[in-house]
Amino acid sequence: MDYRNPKIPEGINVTETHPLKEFALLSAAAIAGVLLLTLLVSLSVDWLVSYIPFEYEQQLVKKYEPEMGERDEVDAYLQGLADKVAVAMELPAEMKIRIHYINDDTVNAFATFGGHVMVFRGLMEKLPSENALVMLIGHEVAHVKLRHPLRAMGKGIVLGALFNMVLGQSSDSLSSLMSNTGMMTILSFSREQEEKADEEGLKALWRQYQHVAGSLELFRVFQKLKQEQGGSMPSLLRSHPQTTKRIAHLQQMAKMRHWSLQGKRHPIPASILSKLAADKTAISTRSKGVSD
Amino acid sequence: MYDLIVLIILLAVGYIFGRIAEARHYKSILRREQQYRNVVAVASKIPPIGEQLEASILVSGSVVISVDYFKRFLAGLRTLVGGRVVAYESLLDRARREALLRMKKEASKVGANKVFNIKLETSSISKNARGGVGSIEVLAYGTALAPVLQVRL
Repeated sequence: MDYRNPKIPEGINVTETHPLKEFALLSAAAIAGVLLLTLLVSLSVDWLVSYIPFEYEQQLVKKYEPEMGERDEVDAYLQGLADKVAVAMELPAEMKIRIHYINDDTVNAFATFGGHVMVFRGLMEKLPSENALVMLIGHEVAHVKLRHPLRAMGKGIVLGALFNMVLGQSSDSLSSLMSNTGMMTILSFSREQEEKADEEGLKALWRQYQHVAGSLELFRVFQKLKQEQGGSMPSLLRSHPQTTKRIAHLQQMAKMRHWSLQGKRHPIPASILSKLAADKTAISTRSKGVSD
Repeated sequence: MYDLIVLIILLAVGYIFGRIAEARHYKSILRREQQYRNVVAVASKIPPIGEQLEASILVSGSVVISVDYFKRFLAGLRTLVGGRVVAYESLLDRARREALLRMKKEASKVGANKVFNIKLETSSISKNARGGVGSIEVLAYGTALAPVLQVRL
């Protein structure tokens, strides 16, 4: 009997596709899938949020309230401003704003669940006028009004759970691609929220003073800070829009509505400023004591 | 964010080195397949009838090939939508042919020109260990038949 091995034609066991083509196709599909999923979740969360009473939010953070510290004169001053902003913004009656002053060098402020707004000393002492402070408070109160903390958390939780489920079995590298895509989408929602909050803040400022002078000073503080610290991130990776874009957007809005950017600026009361300075020295001596 | 940059670098490294390694390997496989064409590999269990004075010797050849980062990523993407895992097809094709070649080399060393009852076994080395880049082993073995006088052990 004669045995022979015929010459087998090349490539019958391998599909002729360029790996890069396959890569492009599959990654595009995966990214599109994540985008679609994120969009869908985002839309449904936005829709659901309108059915969640503000009271639930308040209950959610109730147990943390004692930890928020005692209220001093700066708290009271900020609360007064916030209450006026709340009126100017026509907040629903149940949406109570509670503003907290935090003695810390951080140059920031944020709004969280249940109408709590935190303002850091670091930012407050850099603001040149009460008008800028009102703009800041207006921005944060707008986050509360538009239920942004709840929306952001809702989307974060649902998407986090979904990604974990889908990507639980696949490789780490793959989940990195997917979660990064998801994160960038969420960041774009975040930038959208910031823009809306800026608009609402400007509106509140105008309602209170009949001009919007000082509104841009807030952003100049951030610009200056960025120049000092250096380094910049691409727009795609930011939670907030570029400061220059925010300024331009507000200028355009003011121009369209004929809101004057010039007007009388009110200073922050001297008693408050001296309290801020005292708090600053108190904290720096304390930290020195620790480091010694 | 940095993990995305790292990912892209790893993918590029995997792709470039994987492609070079694969091209080289195929070149060598084609050359050696020509070289060992005189050793006939047969799947049949039944040895040729009527040929006398034959010695039978177990010959085997095994190879372990690692998947590269790019291929693994591609296969991972495939798990989402299903379909042919093209990225692994060439990997396994190479491994099977290499294992057969090593087996034939051994057969030709002992002076055989036929290998009967050929079996191929495949196993994945790292299984599904998380984070580990998988490797595959292919083992080919069979019974080499050689004229008794020619056997060199």
